[in-house]
Amino acid sequence: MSLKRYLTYFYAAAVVVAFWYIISFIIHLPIIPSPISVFINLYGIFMSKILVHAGFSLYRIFMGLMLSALIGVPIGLAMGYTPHLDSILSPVVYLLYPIPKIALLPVVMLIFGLGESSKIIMIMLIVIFQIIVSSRDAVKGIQKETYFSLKSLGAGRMDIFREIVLPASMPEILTSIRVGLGTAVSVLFFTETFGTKYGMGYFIMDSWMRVNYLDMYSGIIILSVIGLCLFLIIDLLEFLLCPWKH
Amino acid sequence: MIEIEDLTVRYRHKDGFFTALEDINLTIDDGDICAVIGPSGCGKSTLLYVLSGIIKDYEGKVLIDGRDVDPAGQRIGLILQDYGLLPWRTVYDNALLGLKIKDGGKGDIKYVRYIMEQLGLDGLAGRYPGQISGGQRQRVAIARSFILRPDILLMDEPFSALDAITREETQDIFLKIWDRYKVSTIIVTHSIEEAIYLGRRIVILSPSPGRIVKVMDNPLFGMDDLRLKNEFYMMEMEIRKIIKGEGPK
Ligand SMILES: Nc1ncnc2c1ncn2[C@@H]1O[C@H](COP(=O)(O)OP(=O)(O)OP(=O)(O)O)[C@@H](O)[C@H]1O
Ligand SMILES: [Mg+2]
Repeated sequence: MSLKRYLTYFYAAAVVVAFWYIISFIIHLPIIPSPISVFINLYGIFMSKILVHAGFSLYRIFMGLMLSALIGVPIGLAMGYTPHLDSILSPVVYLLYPIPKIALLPVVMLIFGLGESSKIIMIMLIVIFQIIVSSRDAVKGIQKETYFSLKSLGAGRMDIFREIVLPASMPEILTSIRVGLGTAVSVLFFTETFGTKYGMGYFIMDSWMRVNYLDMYSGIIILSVIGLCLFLIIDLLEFLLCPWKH
Repeated sequence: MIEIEDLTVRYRHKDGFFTALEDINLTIDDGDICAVIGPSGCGKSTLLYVLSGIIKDYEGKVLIDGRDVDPAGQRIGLILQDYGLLPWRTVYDNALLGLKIKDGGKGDIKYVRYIMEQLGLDGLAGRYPGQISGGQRQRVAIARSFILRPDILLMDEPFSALDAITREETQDIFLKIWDRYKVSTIIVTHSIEEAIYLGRRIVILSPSPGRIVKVMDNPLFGMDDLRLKNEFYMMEMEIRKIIKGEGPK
């Protein structure tokens, strides 16, 4: 979490924008506008046009991720810690995991309506399995020697869970949420192109339909920034929850 | 008191069993220190795993103070060969882990501070195991077992990562604390010198599968300036012969 690391983000952003600029210069088509005009456009429309969409998207993706973690992590940890539970639930998880749940969007919208809940549930349906499987494997991957000192102290199952299972798997849990975040952005975009007039997905697709490429790229930038902000929040969580890692 | 009768331990693996310890018979009286010495892989750590309740699947009988091994009911101080520290707990929390599990964290803070200071850990309390040296980690493990004030103390090469001077100092700290509480102790070591210095009795194990070759009473235990004495070298030679299989059985 050093300042130096954040400077590298600016560095990376500068490289991306420079690359983008060169491509727009070479190709010279309206579908790839120069980043400068996009930034000027973004400055002009952010407050008036984008902010409300950004708010909706942020809310949906945040809730989707948080609920996935709140439900998925305990299930995964319990499965990893209790072989009996694992043998019951693993087949179910393996069966559901590979189903292309994005195709279930119409069903979810039919059941949960066109409002916020169907979008949040859509994100959860897809992200939660990654989190469950990663949390479970994190617990299963703990070396048996790690338990020895607590065993020799006669520690109970709850003690062992608190002293070993939870902290040992925390870094991997956070990584699975990071991976889930990437997936969640894509799912969000997809769900926001149906049955809503709010959200970055809607804004970007709408701009595209209106052949307003400057607006479209402005939207893409903001959606990326939302993703980056959530990434940084997970970094911050790691800093707070895994202090021994630094 | 620790009583071991006809103990045989086998590890299970893919195609059958591996016998790590065979027919071990040993009694350790209250307030005794028993040094166990033997070549690498002969089953020394395995013996401590059995006594600390980590390995429950064995043949024979093992009793601590007349009862079966029961880590929940007994206070077993164990220093693991790899120290057994929790990477996510600070040095202080690691040192107090035993108290936390056994007594809900309540204990004699003065004694805790004394041990931490004696072992040179007082400046490291807030660090994590990943932020201290190997020898310091080993001293945290030693501190944890002392702070627990165990009924029996099991030490698996507890001074192996320390330099010669620190090792001798730490051995003396151990003897000082042992002298005060007279805990029945088994100390595993690969150093003959350490066995003579710390063991009232010395148990020599054979190469794998570990069997007891000889149990010696150590008349030199507790002698002042032991390391400078001639008897020390005589004893060392004798043990060396037994380990090499030349001495009297
Ligand atoms: N989990 C296991 N499965 C199979 N064999 C094992 C297992 N753990 C240990 N062994 C074998 O049991 C024997 C005794 O191991 P142990 O760790 O007790 O030796 P040790 O005397 O402590 O050795 P060292 O001095 O190197 O620490 C070794 O030969 C080892 O290969
Ligand atoms: Mg060993």
